[in-house]
Amino acid sequence: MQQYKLIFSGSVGAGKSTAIKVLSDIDVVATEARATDKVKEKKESTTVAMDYGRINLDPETVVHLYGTPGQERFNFMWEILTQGALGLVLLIDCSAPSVSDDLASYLDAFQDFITHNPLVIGLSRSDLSNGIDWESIHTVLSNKGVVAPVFEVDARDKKDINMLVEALILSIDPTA
Amino acid sequence: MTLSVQLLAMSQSSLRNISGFIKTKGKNHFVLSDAPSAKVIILDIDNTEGKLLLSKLQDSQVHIITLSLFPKSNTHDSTIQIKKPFTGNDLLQAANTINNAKKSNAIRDTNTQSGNTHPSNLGDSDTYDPSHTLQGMLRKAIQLSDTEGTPVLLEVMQYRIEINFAQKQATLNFLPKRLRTLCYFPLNNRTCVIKKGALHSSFDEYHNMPIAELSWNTALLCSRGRLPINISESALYKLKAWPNLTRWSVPDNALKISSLWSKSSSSITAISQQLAIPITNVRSFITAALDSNLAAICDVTSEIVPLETKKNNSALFKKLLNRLKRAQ
Repeated sequence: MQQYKLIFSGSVGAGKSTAIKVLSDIDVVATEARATDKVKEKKESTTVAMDYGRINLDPETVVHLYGTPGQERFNFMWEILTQGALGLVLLIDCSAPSVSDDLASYLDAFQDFITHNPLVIGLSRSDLSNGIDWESIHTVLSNKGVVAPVFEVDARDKKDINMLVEALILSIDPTA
Repeated sequence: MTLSVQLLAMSQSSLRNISGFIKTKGKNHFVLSDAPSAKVIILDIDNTEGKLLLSKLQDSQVHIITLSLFPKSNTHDSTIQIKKPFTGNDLLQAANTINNAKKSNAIRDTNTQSGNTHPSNLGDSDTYDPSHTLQGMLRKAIQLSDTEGTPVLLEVMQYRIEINFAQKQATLNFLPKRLRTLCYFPLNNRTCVIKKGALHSSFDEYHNMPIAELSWNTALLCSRGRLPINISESALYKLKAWPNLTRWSVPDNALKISSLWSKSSSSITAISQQLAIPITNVRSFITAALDSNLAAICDVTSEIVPLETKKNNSALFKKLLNRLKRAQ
């Protein structure tokens, strides 16, 4: 059997677990616990190890979907999970106080991976923000030397998440 | 013979119903087209836009089918009137009438050269002058708002667009879907007024969008596969940033074009060849990307990175892409 993996990472509450649920052919295995730090202001529970889902393309081909925990104290998981991955889907919560800083910090955290592997960025929860400051987003990417697809997404929306993954694949091979 | 047809100046529900009919029972008579070379235009003339479009189209070579509650007697020879409420059979009969007329004209006028005088074509059918379209007017309005540091109002008939460059926002007093029709009108300084000002609070419903999105959508609608006269097919361009394709209009092959053009500078012709896609797709894309400041022209000495694809995963990619398309 041929096995591949896609990683979903990004800020807390951005919709990583939700995005995996949207794509997965199986019930998502979530490792959640009650939030005890400032995350509890956003949601009751949070991922503490990883989320797992799967796309069964055919009996011989599987794409594993892994969602990392968003909090920095679990960042040791990020490097472990990205090993051998096809690409990274980074979801950033636009309703957070500093979207550009969050984006910059995740780009730094995954710098080694995204130097050689494709990245797509989804800006989520824009309905809860005052609008997306696209200029700041593009400035951050430009300063980091990153040219990646950046789309406004609703993590619950299949079309949005599908387009993120489609852009990731075509980033690797535009002729696919 | 199937006739390429455009649907203009009609409500969303009429658009849906007629498109659905054309794609099913009407598919042997019509094929939907957004290209400037469409042979037939179906117009609802029970609204201001439809009436205005009809007056502009009647001297063109395109066949017009009008839909109206009150058909008139004094119409142009090439106009077929259908009284509302109409049925699919009315449209099929109109298609047969047009095909018969074309056959008669072909026999009678074998030596006549008929150029494509669709009003949205200005000069060569592969190029157009954006200064005579909403695209050009929008550029002027954006520039004025930027230099003056104030909101600017763009007015075409009853349609108004407020541009606030400082906030990077545009506000429309009409539904964004109406942009399609506005982009068909040739405009000049009399038909389109640009002045400093803002929308009054008395308008009931406004629609806000980022200026970049409005520029992108407008440029796509005005281009329709053609290139602005000041853009060269052989010049090198590069994408500075991807368009927000989950929310903006998505032209054909946009993801592939974005991917290739973000990796390296390239010409329109080269992109079309490398991806094996119609050059019209690439023209529309670059026109919109330049207008929304997502792309830039590159120096001729810019490095062109050859496209290298990881062929060892190509089967996976095809399966995954097919799966994602099926799931839409």
